[in-house]
Amino acid sequence: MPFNSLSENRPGAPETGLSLRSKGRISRASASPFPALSKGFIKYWAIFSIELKNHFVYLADFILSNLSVIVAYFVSVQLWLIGYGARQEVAGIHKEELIWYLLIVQVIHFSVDYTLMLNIEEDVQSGNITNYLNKPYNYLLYTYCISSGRVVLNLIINLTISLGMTLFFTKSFASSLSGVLQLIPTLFLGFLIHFILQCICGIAAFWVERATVFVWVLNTIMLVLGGGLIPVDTWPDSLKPLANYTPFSAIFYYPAKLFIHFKPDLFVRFLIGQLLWVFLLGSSLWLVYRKAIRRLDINGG
Amino acid sequence: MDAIEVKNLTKTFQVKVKPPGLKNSFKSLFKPKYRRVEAVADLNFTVKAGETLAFIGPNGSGKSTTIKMLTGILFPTSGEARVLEFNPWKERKKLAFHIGSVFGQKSQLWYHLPAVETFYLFSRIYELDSRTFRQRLDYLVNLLEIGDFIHTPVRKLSLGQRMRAELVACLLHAPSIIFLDEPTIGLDVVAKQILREYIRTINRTEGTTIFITSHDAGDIETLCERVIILNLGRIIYDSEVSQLKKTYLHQRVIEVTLNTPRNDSFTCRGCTLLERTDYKLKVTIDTHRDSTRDVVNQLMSQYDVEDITITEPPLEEIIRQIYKDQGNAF
Repeated sequence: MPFNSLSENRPGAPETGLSLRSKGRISRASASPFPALSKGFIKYWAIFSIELKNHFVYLADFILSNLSVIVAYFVSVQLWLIGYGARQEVAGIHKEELIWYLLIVQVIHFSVDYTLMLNIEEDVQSGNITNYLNKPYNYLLYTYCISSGRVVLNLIINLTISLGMTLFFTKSFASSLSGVLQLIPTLFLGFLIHFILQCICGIAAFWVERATVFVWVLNTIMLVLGGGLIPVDTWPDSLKPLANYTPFSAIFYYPAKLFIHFKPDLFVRFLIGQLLWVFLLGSSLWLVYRKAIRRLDINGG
Repeated sequence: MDAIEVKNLTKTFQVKVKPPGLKNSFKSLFKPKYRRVEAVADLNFTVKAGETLAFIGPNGSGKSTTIKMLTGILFPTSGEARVLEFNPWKERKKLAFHIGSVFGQKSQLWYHLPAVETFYLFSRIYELDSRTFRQRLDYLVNLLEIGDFIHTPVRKLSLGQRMRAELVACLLHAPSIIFLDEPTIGLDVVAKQILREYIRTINRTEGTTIFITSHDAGDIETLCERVIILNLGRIIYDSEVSQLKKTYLHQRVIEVTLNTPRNDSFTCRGCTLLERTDYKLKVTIDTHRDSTRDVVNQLMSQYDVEDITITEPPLEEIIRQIYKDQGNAF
């Protein structure tokens, strides 16, 4: 290793907090007790944890900022109940199931990290990205861990609030154990797809002056075409292919639909669909990032 | 042994040019025009292991761009560089384990959390085992005397305290080279001096190569053995600091504020009057000929002094002088 032993064994050298073997230069390979695979996990887990700790500093503010989910959820439920009128079922979705469908999509909507795109743009344009690129980690994974810290906390808060509210008013539960358990992989993959889409648009800041122009467009399209406002089942047949050929329904519709109507074959189909989108979009993100990083121009200190 | 080797390093940026007016703004939407800016041009230099190098120049001279290329953040337009035998932009992640950096204007500490949380995070990022991390942290906490505020949220620290904590974060993994981009910016005189002392100690005790950019001539005088001066992306001076001191840093500017107005003729041995009002005097002295102490004593005895400030000549003045000596116009 180059320069590894520059100050080693210097007679009378003061104690620098390092063992003699690694004095002045910590030799990672020999000093680290972590096996190769777990090293990466420990590193990224620490990044995820510090973001959680960061939010715990202002936990009360964070919870208050999430209370808007109550209003949005209440309004959408009321609108749909008016739409249902006297009918008990529309497109195979019972009135009660619809309330639970809306709960899941609203919780997703209020938990995903919509600031991610703006944060990446800010990092690129302010030059703050220098503090991330000079560390021994992957910038995309770093960003993912930071974003996940926010998402997980949002999810816990929003789910607790909305679940309590729904159980209080409906006094019923329109799902099954499988419907609940499937949320773990489908929500996780949905958040990942959302992260990748936001990242791709954020990285556009390397080319365009304001990536924010994409924020409103992307977020609206995601919500509408993803079944976040209207369940895909109730769409006209001519529009339904849109849900199959865009990744947005994999974020909102898949977890919510499986929550109310869990079927093993549908679960497998949706899961494969999500994995395919992760692969396709993830590869695109990697290519865009590789290209973008070469274009990085930072003027000034 | 060279820690850094740079050959013909060049970096050009494309900057969008927008002529004024609404019509031109509309035009530039469809036909944008770009101007090429040469941030760094044909740099050639080496830095020995353990050396303390000041890389200085005025705003826009290319200092930060060079640091960013040497740390692998920016890709050069052409040229080569080896840092600790790594190609910085091709082996950025590998190199990151061996270098540390502090960008004076950009904090790497988590603003709402105590600095110790960032240190713990960095120990994970740099893959230090717990024992090594604890020993190293203890050592640095004592050395940089940050024990009193290590558990205080960063947002509540003074700038001087924050910079010391930044330095600890940068040194945790015992890097072979540290890149300091204007580390003393915004600090008061005392805080600057303290920080310089810590940096010097790290260099002495651990043999760490120090690559420092600064606007402050004081950083160079007190900290560095060698200085490279950059202007408009090109190296205009590369020499020992002692040489720079002898040739260009032998002047001091003394500003005196008076309690009572004086408008009689000015006499002070060794001084050249630059500016004068009823309440103010601005003089320059040559430290090769006269000692600063003697001149200050003289001024104190002759005038009713309220305040006195002694500064080095500004960097721009030194650069002007270098150009003059090299026979070029500035």
